[in-house]
Amino acid sequence: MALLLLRVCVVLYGIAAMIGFIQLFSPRLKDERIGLVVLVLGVLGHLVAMGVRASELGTFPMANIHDALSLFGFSIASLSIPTLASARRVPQIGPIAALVVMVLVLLAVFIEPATTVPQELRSPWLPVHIALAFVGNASFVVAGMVAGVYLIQDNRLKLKRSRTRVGTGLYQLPALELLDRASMRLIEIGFPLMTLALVSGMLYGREVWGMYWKWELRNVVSVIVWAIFAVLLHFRITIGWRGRKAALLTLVGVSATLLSIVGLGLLGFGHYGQDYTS
Amino acid sequence: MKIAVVGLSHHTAPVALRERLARSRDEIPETLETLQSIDGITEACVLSTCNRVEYYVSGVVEAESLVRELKLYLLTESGVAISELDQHLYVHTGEDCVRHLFRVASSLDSMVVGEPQILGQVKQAFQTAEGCGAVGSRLGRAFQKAFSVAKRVRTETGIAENAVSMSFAAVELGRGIFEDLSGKEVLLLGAGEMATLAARHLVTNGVSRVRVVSRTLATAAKLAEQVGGVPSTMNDLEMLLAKVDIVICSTAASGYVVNKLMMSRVVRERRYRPILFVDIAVPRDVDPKVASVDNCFVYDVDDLTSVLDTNRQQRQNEASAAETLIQGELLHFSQWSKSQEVVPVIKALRAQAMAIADHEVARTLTNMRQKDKRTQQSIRAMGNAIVNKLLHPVLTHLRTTGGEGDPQPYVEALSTLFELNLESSTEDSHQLSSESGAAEDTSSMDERETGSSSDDIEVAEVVRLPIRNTGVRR
Repeated sequence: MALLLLRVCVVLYGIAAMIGFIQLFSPRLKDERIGLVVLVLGVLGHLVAMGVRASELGTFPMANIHDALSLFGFSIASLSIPTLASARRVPQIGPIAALVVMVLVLLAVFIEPATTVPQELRSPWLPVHIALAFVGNASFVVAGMVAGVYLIQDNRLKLKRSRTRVGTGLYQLPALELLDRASMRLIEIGFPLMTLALVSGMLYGREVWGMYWKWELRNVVSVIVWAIFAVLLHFRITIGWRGRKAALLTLVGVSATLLSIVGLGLLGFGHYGQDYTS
Repeated sequence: MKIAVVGLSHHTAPVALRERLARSRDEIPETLETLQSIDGITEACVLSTCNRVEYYVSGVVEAESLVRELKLYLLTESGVAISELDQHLYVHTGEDCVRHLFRVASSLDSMVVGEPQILGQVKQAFQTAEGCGAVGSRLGRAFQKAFSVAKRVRTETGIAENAVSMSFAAVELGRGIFEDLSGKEVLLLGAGEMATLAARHLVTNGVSRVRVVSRTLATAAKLAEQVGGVPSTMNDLEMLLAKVDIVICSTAASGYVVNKLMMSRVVRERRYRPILFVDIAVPRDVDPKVASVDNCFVYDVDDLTSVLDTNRQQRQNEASAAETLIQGELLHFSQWSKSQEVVPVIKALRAQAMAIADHEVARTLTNMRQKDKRTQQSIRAMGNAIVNKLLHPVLTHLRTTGGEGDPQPYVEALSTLFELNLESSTEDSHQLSSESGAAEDTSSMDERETGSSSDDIEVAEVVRLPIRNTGVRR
């Protein structure tokens, strides 16, 4: 049942991405909110799917990489909605976000979900750690998408091709300042969550393995992600650093994020659910 | 449609000729009065701008004779030789006249396609004519429709997007970088005229403070006074560059005033906030290498020109979309307009028939000395029914030909056969359209476009009024 719902969500996210891309390249960006509505439907359906999954498992649904991908997709989709719908919106990330989420959830659908969660993993720390880590990482990913739009706009201004093809959704990009602020706001939200996730992860590690830190690839990459955004925020606060290079560093950080959660997870280096016991 | 325009514009005539036919705002009422006094002309509107002079007229005679009268008037008024006039004047009649009006109002005929002023000027001309009582239903309908078409063209095509003038380009470039121009500061480096104009545009678009830098404080102060800014000298340049967001350069300096080394210092000082240089000075004031510094955006004259060229090209492309839109609107309008031509005849016919019926019913009732209310009522109803049934096929036919073919022969035949007094009823319809308000006029027209049946409603609306007045159906 949960899996069926998840499939429906894949379709909804796919439709949202398709509408978004069509609008991006259509002569005029008329009602960008149609894609948004479909995306919101996808998120709601996804929420129900995860609820059903939780009730089937009888605990927080984090049994293996299937759940991890699904939850990560869900977090990205939900976090992109404020960026798409607020007054200072960046509608251009809509199709990219929907596409990324669709791919993540599609991967989740292809991976056999585990049917049980080992008793020793039912610690109250786990949902806390996971929620913090996923929301934190997802805001980094959305910030990365905005940073990508920033780079496109920066490039166009530097190449002096500003608005030469107005009328095409892709070319009605928001102002640099807006993009910079939107991306930074998301990093500012994600960073404290990520910090708390590392702390709660250590506490959880002590409960399960009896030690705070384990030298594992997955852990190391997580700390690297944290460090990249720490550097970014540090320079932003001290010397007001922003612009093209800041956007590039954001993208580097996001690549590390995706590597840590999706890449390592798929390769079996992640430690979700059953992997913890191994 | 008995409607025509005679005029000349920057496309057809040099300014030397345009100015001889142009009318100042104060002269227009008098001109309108003279035009209306010409035999056959009942409505007139004069549009006189620096780029065009156009005389729109409508009347009871055919469009060709309207044109003849107009030309004669222009000939006597301006004293320009007929051969010279004919060479530069353009003439549009009927549907072409309406199309021309639509194109002018939509700024398709302007020197800079998509410029926003012309619509205001057309509105102004119309209001002046309306104020003088020179516009009736025909010109009124055409102008009102032209306004709504122009609005559609502006909102539905990209014709008015993108700056096409140097001074506006700064505003537009600023919008690509800054979320909001309010609270931003602009620095005028040098006192070029174009730069001053650009600064003014930025201020109207929300820029909060203007700073002026010149070689001497005296010239800076003079310029600062003009634009409402704060004057400084070149010595403060680096300090100011750290503060401002947009710099418009137009100094006469022979070398670069702003270089890369300076900017890489300044950028740190500004905490990496973006800065926009619009360099319209020749030779350039800003070293092109500055563009390679992060968060510095530099546009020189050539960049601006190429941006503006592309924008102009873009507008031209959008113009064809606008032409298609206008063609569609014109089709609707002329159909609707034709159906309006038959309204006076329908009205007069109805009124006459109803008057006869009322009269006969009243006579019958007096003769019968009938006191019973119900009997009285059914006799009145009978009178109405006979009129309605008799006229129904005639009116239906009129309405359909009004919409499609040429209704004129029918109108003439009916008025001769029934000895209709069309003059007075035409006056009525004029009054009616001006009373019901111009806005309503266009709205009913828009309804007509969406549904085919509202055509009948429109006619019926006009027809019902006299019936109500006679008090038959109480």
